[in-house]
Amino acid sequence: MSAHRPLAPTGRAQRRAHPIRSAVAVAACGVYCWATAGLRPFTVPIDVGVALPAAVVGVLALWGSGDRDVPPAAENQPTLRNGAPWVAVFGLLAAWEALAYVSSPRRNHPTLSSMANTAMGTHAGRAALFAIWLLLGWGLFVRHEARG
Amino acid sequence: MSQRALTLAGYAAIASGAVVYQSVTWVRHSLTLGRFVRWLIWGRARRVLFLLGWAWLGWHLFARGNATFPG
Repeated sequence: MSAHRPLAPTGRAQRRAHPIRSAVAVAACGVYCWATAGLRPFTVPIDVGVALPAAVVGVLALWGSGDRDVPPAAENQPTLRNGAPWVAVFGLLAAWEALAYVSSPRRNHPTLSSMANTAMGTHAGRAALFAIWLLLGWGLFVRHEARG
Repeated sequence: MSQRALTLAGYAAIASGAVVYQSVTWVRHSLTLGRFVRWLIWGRARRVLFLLGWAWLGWHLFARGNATFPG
């Protein structure tokens, strides 16, 4: 396995969603994010608001996921050379975060959590972060894309 | 440079490095972040583990978060 060898093309899913249906789905998700962002923590409504999409993603991710249990093609598996930079990026991020976490005051040493809290100080910011969280889950666990 | 600016610059530098490497791998059709993550969560056990981590993150941030917000 040589480093940086071109990988097998992954392609895109052949089927294309209907544009109107997609727009309605996006709008519905936006409304859901906005509504959920207005709920207070430590209450039953927000518990349900977070648990519901998590459960949907969980079911969709595990339902009929047999094809995803097939190991990726050798060309799509990381080598020491092309995988190490990603490990380094996440390692550096974790180290920098840890350094900020043990330092004080927090204002001078912001952590990712404290920055997220700042962003969530407004309804719009909270809704945006909630949408990003949903997109992350959908993209990671549900979205069917041709795999190499 | 203030301590705060230095800390933020560190995050920005790491993010920039990730964007640059992602661009390089994308152009070379090499191991992009997407492919790396897909390999990372390959297999039912790993997928369940990461799924639980993602669900916990949402729970931690939104259901048990302490940010001030209207409502």
